[in-house]
Amino acid sequence: MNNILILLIVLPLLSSFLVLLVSFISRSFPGKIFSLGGIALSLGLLFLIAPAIFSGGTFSYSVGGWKGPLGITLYMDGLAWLTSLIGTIIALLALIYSSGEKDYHPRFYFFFLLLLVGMQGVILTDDIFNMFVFFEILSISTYALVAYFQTGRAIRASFDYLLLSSLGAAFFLLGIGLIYQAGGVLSLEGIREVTIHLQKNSPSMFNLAVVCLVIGIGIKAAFIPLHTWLPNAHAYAPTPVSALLSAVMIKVSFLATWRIIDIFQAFSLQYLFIWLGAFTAFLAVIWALAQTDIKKILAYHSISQMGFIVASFGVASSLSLTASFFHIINHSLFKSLLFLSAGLVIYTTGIRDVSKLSGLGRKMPLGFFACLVGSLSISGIPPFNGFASKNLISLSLKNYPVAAFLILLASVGTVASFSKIMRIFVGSSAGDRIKKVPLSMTLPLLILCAFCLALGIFPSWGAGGISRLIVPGSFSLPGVYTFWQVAASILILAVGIVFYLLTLTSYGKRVFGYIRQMRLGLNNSLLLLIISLIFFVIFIQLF
Amino acid sequence: MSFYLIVAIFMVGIWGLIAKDNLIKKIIGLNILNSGIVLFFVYIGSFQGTTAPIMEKGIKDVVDPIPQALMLTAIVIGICLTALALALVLKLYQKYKTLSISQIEKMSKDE
Repeated sequence: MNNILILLIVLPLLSSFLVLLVSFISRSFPGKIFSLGGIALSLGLLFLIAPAIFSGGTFSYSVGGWKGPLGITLYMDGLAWLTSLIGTIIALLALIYSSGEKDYHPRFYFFFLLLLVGMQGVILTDDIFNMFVFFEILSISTYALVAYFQTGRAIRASFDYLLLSSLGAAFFLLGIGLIYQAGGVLSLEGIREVTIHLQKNSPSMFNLAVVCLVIGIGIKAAFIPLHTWLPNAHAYAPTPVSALLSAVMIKVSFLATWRIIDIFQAFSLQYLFIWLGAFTAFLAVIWALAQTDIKKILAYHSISQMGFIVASFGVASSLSLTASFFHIINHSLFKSLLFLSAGLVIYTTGIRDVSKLSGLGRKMPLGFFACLVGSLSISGIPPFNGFASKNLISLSLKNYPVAAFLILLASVGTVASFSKIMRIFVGSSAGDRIKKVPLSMTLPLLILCAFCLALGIFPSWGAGGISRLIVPGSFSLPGVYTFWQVAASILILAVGIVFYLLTLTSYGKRVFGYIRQMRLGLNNSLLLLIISLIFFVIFIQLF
Repeated sequence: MSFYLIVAIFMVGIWGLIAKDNLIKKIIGLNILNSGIVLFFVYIGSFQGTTAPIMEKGIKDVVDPIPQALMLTAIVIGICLTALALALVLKLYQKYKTLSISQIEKMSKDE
C-alpha cells in the first residue's frame, strides 16, 4: 500500500511524457486519452487507500529505499489525502472541460500533467529541499501554461509571475541553506525535533530562515502584499488552467506555508496572519469591484478569499484551523465552478467585459445556473458551502473585532461584485444566436454544483471530518444553521446589493475607475517583495 | 571574508533584478542571485573539511557533500528557469519590438 504514494507522483509524470511522445509519432492520435487516464488512475488510487485513511492510518514511503533523515520520505496523513483528492478531482474536471472547449496542443496536456505532478509532490514530500524541487516543477509548468495563448498580455503576465516567483524561490533556497547550516537536517520531521534547540541557541538566524521560507512560498499563496502577479496570471491563462491555479496552486502553496509555520513553531508570524488576512480580504474585494473583465474579477476574488483562509489560520484555535481548511476546500470547489462558468460565457459569446454583456440567462440556462450556484456559494448564502465555512470563520474571529469587521466588509463587497457578474444573465439580449456548448463542458459544472450544494447542506460531513483530522481529541463544532446566522447572511446580501447599486452611480464609477488604474508595475512588485521580507523579519524579531 | 563576498553577490543579483529596465539584464540579475545562493551552500559545506568528497581509500577530512548535491539540482532548475524566461523575452520582443519593461508596460496598458 505504501507504494501508492510514489505512484501518485509517477503516474501523471509518465502520462505527461506519453502525451508528448505520441504527438511526435502520430498527429492524429488523441494523446489526451493518456492525460485523462493518468489522472483517473491517480483518483482511483486515492479512493483505494480511503478506508485506511478514514480509520486513522498514515502512509510513508522512502524514495529509492534510502531511509531518512538523509533520504527523501513521502508521507501521507488525512489532511494530505484530502488535499490531494480535491486537487485531483478538480484537475480531472478541468481536463474534461478543456477537451470540449478547444483543440489544445499536446504541449498543453504535458504541462497540465506536470502541474499535477508538482502538486502531488509538494503535498506528499517530507523533505524541505524536495519540496523546493516540486515547487519549481509546479511553477515552471504554470508559467508555461499561463503563456499558452501567446498574446502579449499573457506573456507579460507569465513573465512577471516568473520573476516574482523565482525571487521567492531564491529566498526559499536561502532559508533551506540557513536551516541546514544551523540544524544539519533537511527532513521536516527532523527539523521539528531541532526547532526548540535552534530557537534558543541562534534565534536571529532561525527567524531569518523562517521568514525566508514563509515569504518564498507565500508569494505563490498570494496574500497581500505578495499578490501582485496573480490577477494577470489567472485572468490571461486558458480557462481550465485558471480554474486549476485558483483551486489548487495557491491552496497547495498556502498549505505548505501552514506546515512550515507549524513545524518551526513561528507563532508570532501566525498572529501576523490574522491582520494580513483581514486586509487581504478587504482590499482585494475593492479592486475586484473596480474590474470589468470577468476573469479578473474572479482572480481578485481568489486573493480576497485567500484572505479569509489566512485570517482564520492566524487565530490558531481548533475551530479556526478547521474553518480555514474547510474554506480551502469550499473555495477550491466554488472558484473552479465560477472560473469554468466564466469560461463558458467567454466561449459562447467571445466577450470578456461584463459591462458589454446582458440577457444571457435565456440563451444559456445551464451556465446561468452554474454561475448562480457559484456566486451564492462565494457570497456565503445558505444553503451553499460558502455559508458554512464563512460562518465558522466569523465565529473563530470573535476575539478580534477589527479583523472580523474587515472580513464582514469583504463579505458585503463580495455580494456586490457578484451582483455585477450575475447582471450579465438578466435583461434584454441582443438577438444573435450563440455557439452550442458540448456536454463535456457542462458536465464538470454540474458535478461541481452538486459538491457545493452537498457540502452546504451537510456541513458536518466536511467540517466534522476535517476537525477530526486536524484536532486529535474530540471537539464539537458549533452549529451553522442558527436563525441569527441565516438572518445575518440575508442582511449581508441586501446591503451588498445596495452597495452594488451605489457603484453604478456616476460618482461610484469615477472612484472605481480611478482604483482600476492603480496597479503596481513589475519593478515595484519586486521591491514590495523585498520590503515585506524586511518587514516580516523585523516583526518576528520584535515579537 | 568569503561570507561577505557571497552576501555582496546576492545583493548585486537583487539589485539587477529590481533596478534594471532591460528584460535580459533582469534575467542575468536572477542568475547572479542564484549563483550567490549556490556559493552560500558550498560555503556551508566547507566548514567541516578541506578535500573534495570523492570517497576513495585514504581520503579523509572531506567537506559535507550534501549541500553540493543539493546545488547540482538547484543549478539545473536555474537553467530551466533561465531558458523559459529567455523564451518569454523573445516572444515579448517579437510582440512589442522593445526590451524595456517600462515601455512594454505602457504599451500593454493601451491594448
